[in-house]
Amino acid sequence: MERALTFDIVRRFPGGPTVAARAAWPLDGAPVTVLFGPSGSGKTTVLRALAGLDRPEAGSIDFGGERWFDAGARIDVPPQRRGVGLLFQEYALFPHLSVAANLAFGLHRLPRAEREGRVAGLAERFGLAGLLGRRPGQLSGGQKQRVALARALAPQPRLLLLDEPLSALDAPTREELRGELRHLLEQAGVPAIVVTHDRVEAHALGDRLAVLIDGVIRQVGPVEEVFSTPVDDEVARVVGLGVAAKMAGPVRSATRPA
Amino acid sequence: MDTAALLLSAELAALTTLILLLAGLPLAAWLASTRWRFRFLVEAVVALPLVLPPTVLGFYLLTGLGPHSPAGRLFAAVAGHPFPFSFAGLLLASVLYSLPFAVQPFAGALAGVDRRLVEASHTLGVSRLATFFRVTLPLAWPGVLAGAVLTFAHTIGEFGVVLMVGGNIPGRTRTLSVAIFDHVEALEYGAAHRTAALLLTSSFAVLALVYALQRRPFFRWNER
Repeated sequence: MERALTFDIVRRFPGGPTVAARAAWPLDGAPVTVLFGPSGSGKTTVLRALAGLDRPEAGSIDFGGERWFDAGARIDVPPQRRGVGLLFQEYALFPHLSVAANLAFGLHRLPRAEREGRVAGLAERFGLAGLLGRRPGQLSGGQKQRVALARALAPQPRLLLLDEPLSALDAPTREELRGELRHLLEQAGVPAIVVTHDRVEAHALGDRLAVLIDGVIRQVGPVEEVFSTPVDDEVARVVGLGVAAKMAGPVRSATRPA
Repeated sequence: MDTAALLLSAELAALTTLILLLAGLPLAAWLASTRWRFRFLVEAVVALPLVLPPTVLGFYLLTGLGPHSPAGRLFAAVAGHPFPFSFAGLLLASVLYSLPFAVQPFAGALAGVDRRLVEASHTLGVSRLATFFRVTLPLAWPGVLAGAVLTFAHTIGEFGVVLMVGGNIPGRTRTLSVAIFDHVEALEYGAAHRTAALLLTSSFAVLALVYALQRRPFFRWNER
């Protein structure tokens, strides 16, 4: 049987919208799934539920045959035991710790030598070797992002979740880092879910696209397919009728057959 | 100089501060994070000593923990002596009386720590308790220190509760503030002056320190 991520969650906000998202996709093959939708559509809610930071009112979450959440059976695996790496929108680096200590933060169970070895390896891979002694306050936006990604990957998570990973950066840096982030995600070898409301980003980072509108997942499929053949008018409006494909031309080939 | 009274006051204040660090931090952490809808009732109870005259607290402690009450007999069984006019009784009263001076700054400082940092720690596999010591407490440290210093200073300056619960037994319950009261009653203005001036200057120094700590980022990671 193929390993898959399956979720069907309902989360209500008092006096606000309801998120009722249901989807499933395989964990092998296409590494990066983009959870795409306009702001307020519930993307972050879904991501937080997957990470175990928010408890949905109803539904279930299964990861590769493991039950992470089941409202009926009162199963709720805490975030500590889900083995999920989460990249926060503003990165949430620990301001009182050096870059090295941030990277080593989730490695507290490893013996010292192994921990230091892994930090050194990550620093090399993410181009952070010269920054290990710095504090997060002394880093640029792009550097912070790499530290946050390396920190999330350090404990070797089984699923990587990224919440608007490029939105905290200024526009030129964002352009510059889109390609780099895609490369790092490919290298990581961990299935990833990237939340974004930006079509160019969705196109540049994702293999698979899940379109979320008003708390409901409306379409899941390969990025090209969703952009070229949206299932209905609303999805078409949200993904922008293939406009993104042309805009994203320099980053990923838009000439491939639809 | 009232050396015995000074030492007693310092001992009482140090122990009160220690107990409130151990008991007040968990209470403050709970207050800072709970979504229980009756939380405000607990907050009101914690704040009560701010508005009540110390005689009210002292009166209820004396009647509630007096030798004829069940709680008083329990206290006597645990402490080995009755509650009134003992150092242990004075300590218990001081802890209750200084509760808001510790818990309110603690809770404020803990609530000020970015929730996402705590969540990031959880997703990195670090338990709630370890996260408290590795993330929350180091970042809330200036506020916790301010609360501890305020508790210490407030206990040094305690008067009404000491008289009600502790009485005035030299070396056991006769603190600095009570000693000054004695001197004034006996018209020993010289001795009263010396002790009062010591309290005045040390209290000013402590408060200046607290406000300096809150005004200026004491630790470089608190610079934003």
